[in-house]
Amino acid sequence: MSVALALADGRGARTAARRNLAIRLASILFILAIWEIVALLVPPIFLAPFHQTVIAFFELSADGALPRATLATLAVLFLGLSIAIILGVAIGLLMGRYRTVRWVLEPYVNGLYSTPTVAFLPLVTFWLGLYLAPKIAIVVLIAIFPVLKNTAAGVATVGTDYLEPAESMRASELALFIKVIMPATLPFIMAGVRLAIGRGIVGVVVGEFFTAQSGLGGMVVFYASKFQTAEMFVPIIVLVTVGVCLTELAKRLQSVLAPWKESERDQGF
Amino acid sequence: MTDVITSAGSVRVPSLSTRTKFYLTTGITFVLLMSVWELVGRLTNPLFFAPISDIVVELVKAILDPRERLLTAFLQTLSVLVPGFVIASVLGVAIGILMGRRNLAYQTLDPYVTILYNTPRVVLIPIFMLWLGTGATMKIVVVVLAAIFPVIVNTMLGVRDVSAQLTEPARSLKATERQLLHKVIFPATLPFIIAGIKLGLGRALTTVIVAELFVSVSGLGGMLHTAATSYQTAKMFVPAIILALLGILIDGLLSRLERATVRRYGA
Repeated sequence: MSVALALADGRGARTAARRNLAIRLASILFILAIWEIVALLVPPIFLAPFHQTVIAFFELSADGALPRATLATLAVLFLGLSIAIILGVAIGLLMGRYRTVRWVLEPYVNGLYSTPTVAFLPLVTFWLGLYLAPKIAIVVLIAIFPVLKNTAAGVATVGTDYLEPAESMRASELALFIKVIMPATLPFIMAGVRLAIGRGIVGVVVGEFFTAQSGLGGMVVFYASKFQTAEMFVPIIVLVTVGVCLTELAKRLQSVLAPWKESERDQGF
Repeated sequence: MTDVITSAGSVRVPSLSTRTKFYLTTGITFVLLMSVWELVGRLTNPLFFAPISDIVVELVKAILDPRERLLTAFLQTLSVLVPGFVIASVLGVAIGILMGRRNLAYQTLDPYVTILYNTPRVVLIPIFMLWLGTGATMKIVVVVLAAIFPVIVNTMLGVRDVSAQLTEPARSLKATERQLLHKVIFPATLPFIIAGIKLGLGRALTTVIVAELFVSVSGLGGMLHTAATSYQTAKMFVPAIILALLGILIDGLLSRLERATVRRYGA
């Protein structure tokens, strides 16, 4: 009896899943059809039809421009994110553990977290020039605060039930950090990292727009200024794909590294 | 008040209260930081950095002298931010509720919401400049697109989170769908909505500035651009400081609202 019920349930769930997939596919096809139709009606400098964007994708891939730009963007993103994560975790741990560090840094951290850091873009280019360094710096500036704030908030939740036994066994401060505080804070750190990725991509693109134009962001501006809309959409689609994939990866990583706890704090930007 | 009760239960009077220590630490840090800033600013090439005193002078000048057009720029930025933001919030909540309640709407819209939520929103600026020009319409549309997705996603998650424990009693009392939305789902979702709005506003602010840097003629972003391209470093800090204050103010207000709704309706 119960087996039959379960089977029926499974079948019901499967039809529902199939129906949902059908709705999604129909929705995507509908938008692509609209894209093609609108592109036929407006001049190509406003919108190229979807199939031309697909052709442009293969052309730009074949002549190496797209892979080069993607690599340039990813390099800046990974360097910037690595620095942001390492610095953010280190400062966050110290701020969470030591009251004095928290008091010294907190006003500036909170202020900068709420500040749209792109406002400091001209200053960064004055200091660091136009090439790799300012782009990395912008990514770090934009991405560090979610990691830092989440880490600090995570350390604050590590209770005395964890700390006191370790302390009573004479764990050194360093051992305490590595063996107790870091693991207990990991879910918070990962939540911060997830937020940092999304913001980091915005940082790269802003850097590529306004310093020496390079990478996928530079490609968007270049083709937009030449009104080549088919080519313009190609780097945009790649950027979106990178964003979706990295966020998904971070989500997976979060549930692998810290499956026991889902929490995040976010203030956006 | 300043007495600290230790875990043993005995009362100990510290030589300095925690509060005094806090004010001393932050105060000393602030004075030190400003001194270093001033010193570095005086010693380096004025092209690269400006001493804090020069920046304060520029800030006061910009506030007092209407020829500096600070107020105009500020209002220009707000005139994009406010309508864009209101549209994003209202539409976002509506779409979020629809997606949370109706499977058809969810399946139809979810692919786009997921994609656009993860799109670096600044990349939309060149596209919409092409389509809508460089005026306020383009900026408002871009702000709406930057701010709406966190609102949609949060509202949707909130609506789905409203437990049957809350909706079923209302249903059994024959509440209509409209009543259910008004009296049960919306209030229970409010903390999520505010959190989404807070996220969206941050994104909106960044996007306005990038759009204004792009177009470079209006708003605080335009002011930033003008000062930067004429290498007036001290002046460049003025819009940056105003933007920072605006961000902190908005964030503070929304955090307060968030806490109030959580207190009232539960998280």
